[in-house]
Amino acid sequence: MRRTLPAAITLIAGLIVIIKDIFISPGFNQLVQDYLVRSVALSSATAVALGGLSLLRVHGRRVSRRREGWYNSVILIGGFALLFFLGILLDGGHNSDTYQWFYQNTAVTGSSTVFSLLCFYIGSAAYRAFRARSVEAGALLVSATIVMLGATSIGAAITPMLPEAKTWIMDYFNTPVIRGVALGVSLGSFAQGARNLFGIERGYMAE
Amino acid sequence: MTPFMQNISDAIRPIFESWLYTSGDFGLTSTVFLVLFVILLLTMVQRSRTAAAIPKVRRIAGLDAVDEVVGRATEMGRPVLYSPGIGALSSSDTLASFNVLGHVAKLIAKYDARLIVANRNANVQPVTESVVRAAYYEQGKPDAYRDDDVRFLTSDQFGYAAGVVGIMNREGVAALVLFGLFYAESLVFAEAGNIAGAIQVAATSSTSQTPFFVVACDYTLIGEEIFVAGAYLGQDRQRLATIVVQDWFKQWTVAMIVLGTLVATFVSASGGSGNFIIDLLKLY
Amino acid sequence: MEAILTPTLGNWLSALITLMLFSILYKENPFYRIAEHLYVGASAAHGIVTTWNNTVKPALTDMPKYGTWWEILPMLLGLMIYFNFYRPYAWLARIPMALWIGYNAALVLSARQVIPFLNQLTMAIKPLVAMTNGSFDLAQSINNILFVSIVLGVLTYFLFTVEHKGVFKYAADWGRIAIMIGFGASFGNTVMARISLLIGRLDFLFGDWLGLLG
Repeated sequence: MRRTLPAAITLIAGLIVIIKDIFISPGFNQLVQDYLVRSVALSSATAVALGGLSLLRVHGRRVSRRREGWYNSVILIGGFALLFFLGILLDGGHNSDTYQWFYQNTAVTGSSTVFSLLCFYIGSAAYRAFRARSVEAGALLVSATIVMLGATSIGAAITPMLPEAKTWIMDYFNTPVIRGVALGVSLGSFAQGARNLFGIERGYMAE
Repeated sequence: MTPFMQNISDAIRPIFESWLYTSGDFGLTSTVFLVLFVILLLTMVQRSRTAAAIPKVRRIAGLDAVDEVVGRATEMGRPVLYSPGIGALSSSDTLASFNVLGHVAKLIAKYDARLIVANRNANVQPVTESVVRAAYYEQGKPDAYRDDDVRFLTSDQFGYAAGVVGIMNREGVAALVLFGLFYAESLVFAEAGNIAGAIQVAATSSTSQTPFFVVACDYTLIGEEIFVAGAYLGQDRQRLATIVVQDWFKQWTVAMIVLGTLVATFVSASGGSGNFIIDLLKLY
Repeated sequence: MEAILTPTLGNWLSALITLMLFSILYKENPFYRIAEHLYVGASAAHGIVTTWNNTVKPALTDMPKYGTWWEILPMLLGLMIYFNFYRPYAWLARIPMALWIGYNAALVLSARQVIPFLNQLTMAIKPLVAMTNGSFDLAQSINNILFVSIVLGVLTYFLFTVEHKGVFKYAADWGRIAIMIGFGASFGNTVMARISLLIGRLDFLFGDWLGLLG
């Protein structure tokens, strides 16, 4: 029961989707959309608070046991509670001005800041690769440098060959590499789907 | 299309067009491909359950590194941080990651080391909890499992990245195992991990992010290697059997490209047009 | 509330969080921790709030209107995931997981995913002798040979049941080198985009916050 029932649900739900994708049948397609797809969306939605509860449990324990850095956990819980109650209780929910003020100035700011950290990290990563001095790292860096310079006006000013070289590398190295990798990835992905669908891989049910 | 193939295509089209889905081309070939793939896969899995020999999977260096970094973290007495990426369950990378997580968690349980799993997707969270709990259970140490160590952070992409960076630094993480779907935050993990002194193994099928892992991580798995990882690490016969089928279809892909190229070259050199290998794939 | 939550105050909060998060570049520190925890907490709540407001709440309010009472069932199914917190019945949480995994595994293994695969395959086929306007085109021929050899080399590199020996070794080594050159190109192509992100952030700090930019 503990294993057979979930395995059966996995297989049946999956086969319905696979059959729907093979045949043209507007009626069946609509049924799948209306019931199966909707069920997956709704069950995922009501389950979504599990993540938040897990987060609050970790930080709640940290505060109640006064573990190192517990005051940071108070900030986390405070930020969570503020947006949670504003978003649920305010008229207009997460679209209200008050909610958006807090959301934009905390989470959206955080997002664009961490994203922009990449500018520094891409530099330090390239520097480390430069020091690695292997043939592979060398090939990667030479091509990266040509493409980077070729994409800027500085590159074109150095020599008009750089933009041309950039286009050539993109068309005759980057594109076939991505195509070859993608072909393999598709095959690997099919095998992965099959292993999950037919219950060959179900580590989450071993207990 | 060559006239000959066009005739065949016209003849079979009425048979399929009313009931077989296609978005332009490949309706028939994609279905035949899928059916054959599944039949061969299930046949090989069935064979693997008996004593029948199945082809060997060659050594994959990046995967051997997984055991090595877990061992090293154990020796140092510091935790391993595992990220299943930022994908939802709809990503095959995420599905593949569970298997690797199971392997890592078993090693951790065996060595009495510590594993921290950080999640971004609320639906992935319970699956990773179950996988890790099952691994401890399998090693006969169900009570050693700490539920606080399989954590959800936030569904926000860079909030998740910020949280992972924080954990890496504060918990003194010795090894970072990144298996799953990653987007732009991949480099945040890899670089911040390096600065924090953690050794990293990364795998993703995303061709746009692998370059950053290759540059910044100690070990990187490329492309479909992530889908082989679970079977390879566990040396599980049934799962290895599915890799064999995956490889057969890859050999078929190579053969089709070689044949198609030969035909295309011959046709081009003789001033003609059309390619019956491509026509065959696009039959309906 | 609006009287207190002015744009100026918002810019100050935003600027503080930006600087605190940037401080990770020096090293992990108490300021980073504060901003990180606030960001993680607020954004985690946002994910739940939007799911509630966009999916769960409308479904509940629509039930009496459209008679979609059956939707209670999948909602309850989703709630079963919370058994995960209670060890003796944790196995019940596998039931919604099983549905999600079955559904998603099928999306991965679907004829609709095979179609783009076959399409990519046909696009890897190129004539090694290229003709332009009826005459032999050497440059294009060389480029085509390069293209096809890279696709084949990369695929050979990923053969797992064939030992990389003899001709396979040469092909796989070529594939590996090509992968590095190709990935280098992706890397180089991204650098400019990343620089513009930083410029955007600096623009906020010096323009919107400090008002130093015209």
